[in-house]
Amino acid sequence: MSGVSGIVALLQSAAVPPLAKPVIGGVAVGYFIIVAVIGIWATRKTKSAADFFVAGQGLGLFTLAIAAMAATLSGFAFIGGPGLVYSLGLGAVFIILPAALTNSMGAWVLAKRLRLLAEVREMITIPDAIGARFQSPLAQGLAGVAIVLAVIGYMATNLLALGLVIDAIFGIGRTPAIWIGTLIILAYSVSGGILAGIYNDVFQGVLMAVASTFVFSFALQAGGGLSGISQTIMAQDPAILGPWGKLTPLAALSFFFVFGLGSLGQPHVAHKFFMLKDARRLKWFPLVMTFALFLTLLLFVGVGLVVKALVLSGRMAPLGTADDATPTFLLQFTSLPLAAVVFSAVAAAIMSTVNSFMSIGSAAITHDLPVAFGWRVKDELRWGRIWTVVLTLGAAVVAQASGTLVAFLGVFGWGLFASTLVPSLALGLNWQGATRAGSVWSILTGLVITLTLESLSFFKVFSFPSGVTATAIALVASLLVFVAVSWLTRATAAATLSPDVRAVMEA
Amino acid sequence: MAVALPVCMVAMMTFGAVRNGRRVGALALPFALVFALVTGGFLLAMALPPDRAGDALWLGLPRRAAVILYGVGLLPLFVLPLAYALTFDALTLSDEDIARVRAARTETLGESPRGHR
Repeated sequence: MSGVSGIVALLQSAAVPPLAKPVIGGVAVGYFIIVAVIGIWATRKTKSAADFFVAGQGLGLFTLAIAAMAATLSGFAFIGGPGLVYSLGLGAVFIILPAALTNSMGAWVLAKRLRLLAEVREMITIPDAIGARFQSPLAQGLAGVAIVLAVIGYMATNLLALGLVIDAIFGIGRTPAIWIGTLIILAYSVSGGILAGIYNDVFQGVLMAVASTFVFSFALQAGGGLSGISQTIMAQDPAILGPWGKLTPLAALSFFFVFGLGSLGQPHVAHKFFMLKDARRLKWFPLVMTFALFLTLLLFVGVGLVVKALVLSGRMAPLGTADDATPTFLLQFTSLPLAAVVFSAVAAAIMSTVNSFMSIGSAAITHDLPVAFGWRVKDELRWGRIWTVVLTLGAAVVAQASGTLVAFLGVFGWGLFASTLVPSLALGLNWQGATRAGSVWSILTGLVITLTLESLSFFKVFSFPSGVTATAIALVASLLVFVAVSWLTRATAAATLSPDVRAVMEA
Repeated sequence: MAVALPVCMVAMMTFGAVRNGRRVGALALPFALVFALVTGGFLLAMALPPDRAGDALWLGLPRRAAVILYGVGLLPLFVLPLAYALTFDALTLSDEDIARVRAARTETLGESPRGHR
């Protein structure tokens, strides 16, 4: 999940082994050419801010579902995730386990409301939805601030990861690789906006799902089937296949909570609901997205477990770092062309996520922050492009910094999204008793608690007990504040709800 | 926590599925089933004795791992998206719902729906 990319960004910062093999480089070049062609096509179709930020609200079901899936998963699903399964066992699976519920939960809680809001109001950003729901430019502006803060960290971690992948493929050094990766994404994002991003997401999402499925079958073959893998692991390291892996039950369940409920506050996924052409197409959205996500996550579990079995049985040398699990398995136990496709899929996963962050970050600056101050940028398309460049270059500069700093910035990204946006979106769009004050105070609570706790933890002022995370604390606190303040100010609830928004909430 | 988390997640789904104070109707069954699967999975994983090498596997996995991966992670994948699709017209969104929303837009802002685009 994209949150995964933030929470465990540090895991992505470990370099994959050098792979300067011509086949891998050739496939990667071919992949980048396809991305460029899609970008050029999208540029010709991008003529307005609505095209640039919400793809002209003309997406079909399949496009929406695959693009949402691709944006949800970053390179972590291919590199950091299997590494985490290798080292922590089933405990790491609790990061993706809520996916069984979250796509459908998001459809019931958010998809219909957000899509219908786009039917009655001009919706470009998720803070737009919060502003419309509560008739509050302040709430919209605060949500925009949270998004900008989170996006820079998220983008930096992903650009660093992309640089590492490009460096591993072409062997050109980390810094040049980061800049080349940044320029490739910028080229298609600035010109084609979210339209280029969406159709690249579809290409990248299909690539990720197909590659993952093939790798999973290779994993089963190499390990002697699931039974063979289990028997090998149980004989030597049974804790890996315990229900919580090497985590405590509290830590595993905490993952389930944070990545489950927190999924409702991810703006780069949620804003895609605005883009669906026909609201009634949402009917099959959870099924299509869940199926695609299931296929793409097979690699996450399969490679992590089979590499552990292969190492325990002596068929593979112990890994230098856990993140070597996927590259090492690919190079030793699959065909070279498949390995090449998977390395391109890793780049694809990262690029699709970064593009989504570019879009919501520049939209927050171009659109939401001015709205908070009561004015509107005249040429949002032009300024959207300019801020996309500024934000991305800023993130690329941050990505050059120490891995620890980049990891820190990535860590609070997911928490900031979840704690600031979940109450106003998930509760606010479904509860007519929610109030403007509740929304404003919950967003402020999420901002303050997340930034304070993550900073204190980063500077080692204190450490959380095992299984307790700043994100979980901030999310619970902002939900409680939202409900409590809304109840205390309940007399104002009706006044913060316009008739058309009420109709959306009652539909 | 093993019970509170599924309660929280299923309550959120129910909250989103409830329309204008009406009951969730046919969705009650899939919601109850998913709650039972997830809660039951967590509790069973805690209650079962630790697996040892040589114990029988359930579909290729030790029992407690199978309960988590198949029970909590896999089975709800089949239940919820299908429940959403099969009840969508009756319980989630119909053409009449969209028409009502568009009418409210016209009434409130005096413009034709999506006329701003």
